[in-house]
Formats: sequence, C-alpha cells, structure tokens
Amino acid sequence: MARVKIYAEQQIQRINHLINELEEIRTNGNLLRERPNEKAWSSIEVIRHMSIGHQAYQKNVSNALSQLKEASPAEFIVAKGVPSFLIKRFPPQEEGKIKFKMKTTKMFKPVYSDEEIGKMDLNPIIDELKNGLFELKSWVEDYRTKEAASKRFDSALGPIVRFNVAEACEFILCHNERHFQQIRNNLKTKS
Amino acid sequence: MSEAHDSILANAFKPLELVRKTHSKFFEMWEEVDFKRHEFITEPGKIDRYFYVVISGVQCIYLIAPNGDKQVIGFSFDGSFSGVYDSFAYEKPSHYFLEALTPSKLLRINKSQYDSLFEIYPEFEHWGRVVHLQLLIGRVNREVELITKTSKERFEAFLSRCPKELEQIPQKYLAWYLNMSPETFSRMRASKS
Repeated sequence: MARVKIYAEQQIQRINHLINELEEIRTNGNLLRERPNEKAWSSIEVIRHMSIGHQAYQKNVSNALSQLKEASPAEFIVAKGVPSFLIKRFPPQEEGKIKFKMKTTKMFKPVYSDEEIGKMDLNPIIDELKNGLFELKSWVEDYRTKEAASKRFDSALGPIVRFNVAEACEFILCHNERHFQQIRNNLKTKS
Repeated sequence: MSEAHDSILANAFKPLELVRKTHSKFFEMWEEVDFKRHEFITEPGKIDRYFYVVISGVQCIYLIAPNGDKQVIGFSFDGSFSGVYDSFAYEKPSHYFLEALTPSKLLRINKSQYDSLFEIYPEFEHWGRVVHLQLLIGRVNREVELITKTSKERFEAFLSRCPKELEQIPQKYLAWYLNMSPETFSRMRASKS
C-alpha cells in the first residue's frame, strides 16, 4: 500500500482553511444545535468532539516537540504503514459523501442532553476548537524546522498505534476535515 | 528611522526623488520588522496587511499544488519590494506563502498608509504606473520563458541575471522557480562549473 506523503506547508494551508470556515459555521447560530436525525450528533457536538480529539494529543505532541533537534525543512515526510492506513481512511468521497461510519470510543464522545444543547452558549465551544486549530498550526510550524520523524509516541488509540509529530498532525487534521464535512452535510439538510 | 533606511526606501521608490526635507511623512510611516529563517510572513488563507521593502535577507513567494509540490512564483531580496500584492491590494485571503528563506529585516507600511501616499504625494501616481508596468512586463517575460525555452535555456538565462543574494538560498527553491527538479538543476550547475 502506498504510504502517505505529509507536506507541512499543505497542512498549514488546510488548517487556515478550517479556521476561516469555522467562522462561517459560527454564523449559523441555533442551526448548530439541531441534530440531522435522532441518533446523529448536532454540529455543536461535532465541534466539541474535534476539540476532545485534539486535546488527547496535546501532552504527547508537546513532549515530542521539545525533544526534537533543529533541521532544515524537509520537502515532505513519508508516514509509516499503520499511520498511512489510518490517515487514508478519513477523506470524504466526492460530493461530500462520508465513506463509512467510524466508531467513536466513549472518551471521545461529547455527552450533552437535548436540554443542554438547547440552552448552552455556543461561542465558547467554537472558540475552544478555534484555539485548538491555532495550536495545531503552531505544532506544524514547529516540527517543520525539526527532525520530526525521529521521535515516536503513543497515539490516542493507545500503544498499538505510534505516531511521530507530523503523522499525529496529519491524523488530527484529516479527522477534523472529515468532521467539517459532517457539519456541512448537517447544515445542508437543515437550511 | 535611520539614514540607512532612508537610503533603502529612496532607492526602492526610484524614479521618484524622495528626501526627508520634502517627504517627511513618507519616511515616518515605515516600521522595521524581523523574521527568522523559514518563518512565514504570509500564509494561504490569511490577508497580507502590509507592503514591504526588504532591508536584508531573501524571501520566496510560492504556492502549493494539490499534490503538495511547491510552485515558486518569485523572490524578494535586499532593496526590493515584497509582499503578496493581490492579497494586500484587495484585502482578500492570500493564495500564496511568503517565507523568509534567510533571516530577514523588512520595512513595512499598512494598506491605509500605502493608499495615503497617493493622496499626500501626487507623484506616487507616476511611480505606481512605472512599477505596475515593470511588474506586468516581468510576469509576461517569465511566462514566455517558461513556455518557449528548454530547461537548459531557462537555467542559462537565469544565471545571467541571477542576483548575488540568491546564491545564499537552497538550490531547490531556484529549481522550483525554473520549473525543473532540484536534481536537474544540480546537474546543470555541476556541468557549468
């Protein structure tokens, strides 16, 4: 199986795109509280889920970054086999169709009741993700001038999958891009 | 602002003849900023809020193709203008990266300061005409060169006009600018020497 090539500059471009899109999503106001169907997450729950996913990597990524040696930017970094496999599962198909459902373990679930969703302040939850995206970008900018592939750590899935910083950033970014598509689909059905 | 900065600005804005005595507001507008090696000055998706004149260092403007490859549009270096001009002029998010390839010192003004130059000093209209014409002709020449010349001819033409400042940057950026692989560029350079 072909391995994923990770381009730091492309990641920065994609993160900026998500940051700008998040501000557009914010303007949908109360539509973000609505579930597309009884069992599915509302957009604000999807946003919270992305923040939880990001936070699961904060400690390990910061530790790894602090231990990496300085280096000139590489043209790209080739992800190892297992990270490549995981990253490749994420991208939505053409026309925004999401390929298959992914199982979310309990620790990554935003647990809100319908009542809570109805009255919660949306902006702090959106700001939390925005800050997470800025932090993700700072990780990319940092690893870009370091030997990013030289240090591996456990992923949020456990020691069965280990990432270097570039792979972790790509994993988080692809995960977010998939969920931004979910929000787009949610808002399309509600508008 | 030092005398050295005045001289850099006066040279950059030729054919205008700018001196403190007659253009004090112009010289007072500029702010000095530093960028570390490989720091981004502008990124895709962000608006470039400034117009720059380079004091020292080399900067590269490029975009990322969908497959991740860098497409280098151009460079700025000592004494030249810098910035992502379309993003600056239209106040729209940039499509390009502007990266400091070496530690860089730049002078900058923001959009309202830039616009005010044309109101305060009528002669800036003339400067604008000259600069935009140079820019347009430069872009057309480069496009013609990319379409009509072989990679060897592009390499030769580039060497004949390459400013010494570009000798300090990684060769791969020059190769991408000439639309060839870093390996081809390196081979041509070796055969030349």
